[in-house]
Amino acid sequence: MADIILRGDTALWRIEIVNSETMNPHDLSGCTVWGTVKDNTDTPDENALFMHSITIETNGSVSHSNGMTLVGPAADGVVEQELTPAVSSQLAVGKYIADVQVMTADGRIFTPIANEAVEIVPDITRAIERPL
Amino acid sequence: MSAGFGESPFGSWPFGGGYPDHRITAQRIRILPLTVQRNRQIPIDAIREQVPMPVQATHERQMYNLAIARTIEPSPLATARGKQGSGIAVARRKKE
Repeated sequence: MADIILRGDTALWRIEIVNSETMNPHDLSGCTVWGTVKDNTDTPDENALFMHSITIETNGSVSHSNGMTLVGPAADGVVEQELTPAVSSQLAVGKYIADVQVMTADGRIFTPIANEAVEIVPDITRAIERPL
Repeated sequence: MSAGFGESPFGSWPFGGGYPDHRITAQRIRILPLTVQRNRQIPIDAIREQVPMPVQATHERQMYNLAIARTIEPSPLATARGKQGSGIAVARRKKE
């Protein structure tokens, strides 16, 4: 079932990253997390519908973030991804695919969420700012 | 000695070195902080217009209206009988 996003709405996701064997939270210290939505798998990153990321240093501090925030300490393994109305209001209605990729502290890359269906559906109220 | 996944020539992680298993999984949960409960209120007049009155209810309404008419306007028949009754009683007393 596709993740439905109403055009012009805020969309929030909580991403919990865990070790696949122990199911314990994966410490995000030294990690980079990306969340990307594209129209097809061959589209380059620069042409993605939208792409968010966050880099957490080995000391647990956030050195870079775009559309993602660390929730609690890095050891909890949780980030929150937010699509703003300013961006979502400009998205074309249609069906897309998404994934979440993680680069761990030692440079390995894993994609714990892959080829997830996303659908942008039209809204009725187009305003995204308060009336004057 | 070859190193398998999670192992090194010096032993297996975490006891003797090697590589921690970084295989990870994740779940992405959509947060929907807002929802609404909307109760549609239909004006009573709109209901009367939309729902036809059953036959029995219509008949009762007509009877009710008729009863009101009788209360307001006394039946001319009842008034006439009352006058006739008074005339007969007077006539009988005279004969006796």
